[in-house]
Amino acid sequence: MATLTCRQLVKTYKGGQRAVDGIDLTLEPGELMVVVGPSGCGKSTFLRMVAGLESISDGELRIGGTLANQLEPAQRGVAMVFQNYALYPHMSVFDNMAYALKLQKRPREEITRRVREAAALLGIEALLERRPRQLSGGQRQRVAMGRAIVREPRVFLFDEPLSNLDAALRVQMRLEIRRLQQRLGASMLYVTHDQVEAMTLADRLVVLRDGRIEQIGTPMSLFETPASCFVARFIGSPAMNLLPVTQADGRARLPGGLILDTEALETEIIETAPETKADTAASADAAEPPAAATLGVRPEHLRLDPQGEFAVTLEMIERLGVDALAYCRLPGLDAPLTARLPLATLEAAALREGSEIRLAVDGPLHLFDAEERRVARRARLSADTSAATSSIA
Amino acid sequence: MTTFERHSLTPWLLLAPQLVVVAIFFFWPAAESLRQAFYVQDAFGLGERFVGLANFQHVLASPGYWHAFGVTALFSLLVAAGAMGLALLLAVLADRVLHGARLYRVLLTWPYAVAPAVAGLLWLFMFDPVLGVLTHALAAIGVHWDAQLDPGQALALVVIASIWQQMSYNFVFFLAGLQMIPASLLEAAAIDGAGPFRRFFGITLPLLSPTAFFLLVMNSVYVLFETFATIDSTTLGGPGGATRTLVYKLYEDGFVGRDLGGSSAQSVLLMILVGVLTFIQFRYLERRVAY
Repeated sequence: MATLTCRQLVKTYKGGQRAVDGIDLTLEPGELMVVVGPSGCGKSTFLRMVAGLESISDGELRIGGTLANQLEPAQRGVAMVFQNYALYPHMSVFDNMAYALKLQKRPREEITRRVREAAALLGIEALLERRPRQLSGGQRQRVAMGRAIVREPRVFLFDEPLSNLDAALRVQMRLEIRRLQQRLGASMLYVTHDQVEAMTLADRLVVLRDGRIEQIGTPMSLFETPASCFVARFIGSPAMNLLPVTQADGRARLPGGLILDTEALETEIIETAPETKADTAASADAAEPPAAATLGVRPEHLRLDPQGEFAVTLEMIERLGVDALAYCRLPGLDAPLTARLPLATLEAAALREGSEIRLAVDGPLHLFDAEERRVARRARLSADTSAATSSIA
Repeated sequence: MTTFERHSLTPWLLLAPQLVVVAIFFFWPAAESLRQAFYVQDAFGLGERFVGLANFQHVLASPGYWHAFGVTALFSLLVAAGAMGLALLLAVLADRVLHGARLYRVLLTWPYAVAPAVAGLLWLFMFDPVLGVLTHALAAIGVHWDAQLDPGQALALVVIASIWQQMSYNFVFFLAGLQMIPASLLEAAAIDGAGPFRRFFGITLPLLSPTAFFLLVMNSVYVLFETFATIDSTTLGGPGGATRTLVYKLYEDGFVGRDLGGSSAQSVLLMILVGVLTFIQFRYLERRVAY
């Protein structure tokens, strides 16, 4: 039985504005599902609807098999970790963690035992007598998680829990959340706007855009086969290069005087939400898939090659340590073409800002139609004038 | 640091206007009052004689002073409890209002802008035995109202007028205090299983306690001193001393009875009382409200 099921969940505000616009998803027991999206995409509203802090305008929310639309927050069997931790400042750490159990009128020994167990799990036993203001950010974060763990909820809800921490602590807490989740076998719904956090934590990833699900799948499936330009841009850092495809003289052309040839693929399975899955299936069945309007290539899939298709000017280099990000200018493209290159290769070729270089594609190409949906076609790039073509699988 | 030392005169120059005002209208009279408390004056103010603590002995031995003390205690308790309770209720309600919230807040803050004497008059008119709107309303439900004759009603009148005034001040602070409480705290409590009343008494009220403590100190001072104008414009301490508070009595004795020494002794005693009260509040209450 699924831990949590949403069917066409909708949140409508008074002006008719839809913050959440028909979300379908199923959280399996022991799964960590991350909901990710830019600010204003409705991800926090969605989480608050699950928690019972926002009313549900339409659709169905089931937690542990029971309809939860009208249940009070406390009756839903959920625990939430807030962005600002929301610890009660006038209570000790112990009382913060024990509050829910006290309200449930549990026996005193049971409360003490459960709080101590959770504290031991998080390594905060020494802090139990302190007040929240005497704790550091990371410690407060642990207490907030402890408060959730003590309740033994069916679902843990996390609302951007790491965004108030500094970078080093964020990485540490990220690992800790993952470790805890696996140890407790807990089901978690985790909201964030940080795509690195999303990629590293999630069993499954939900990309939200304007209150709708853009794509659901494992982090790697979203990285390898993004269902739309939006997902392609959002997942992966640095973002995927997207080049406009124009039709001229009966051929598909790219900036920089390149020709694009495509052939239909037999089938390509893209993990998406149910509704978009149907769409993709339909277009795959059609005799002629839609024409490509955008070509995407990840910065990781470009390499330095004297015979490369892209003739570009190196405009800026960001050295990351082992690798470097090369921002290049491709004639006819406004945004820079980004390539992630080994720093050693750059140094060996003695490249500097202003150098003329050629880049070859060394990896998959992604095609998207005029609606920015993925097109199931194999792509091939060639220079317009040259007879020599390079084929890319 | 050298720049500060070189211009050590400038800060004093800038502070001078305020210091002069405070010195002339506060320190000088206070010092004078302190000195006079140890003297008796003749009725024309032409001569005075040092009497040591005789003024204090006389004041503390007079039943009138202890009566006024009792009136003040009752009056303070009623006004502080009423003004703070009502203000908290209104602030909680105003905090929940989504539409026209600003209008509510302005309207609820208004009474504070009304001078105490005017506020007193306002309520005097409404409760006038012959003309008052409220007197007629009370008559309709069978209550005979005449604050000029009934001591209990006179006290009720000044209590109501004072509460009405002070409530606005408290309201502003309570509302600000409520808005300082992050919504997520109450949401977390809701998820933890606390109902609306539990949330109010378990989370909101404890978090408001520093505000409430501050207001308790301010209200005590208000009730002890500033209600003078309200009383003076309505009941004049009557009938039969039912509304004669300590500050009103010292005014009567000093400026009507011309007993400057006795009046000064009372003002010193009042000052000590306020000091002790404030000390007690800080000593015993503040520790409980800090978090």
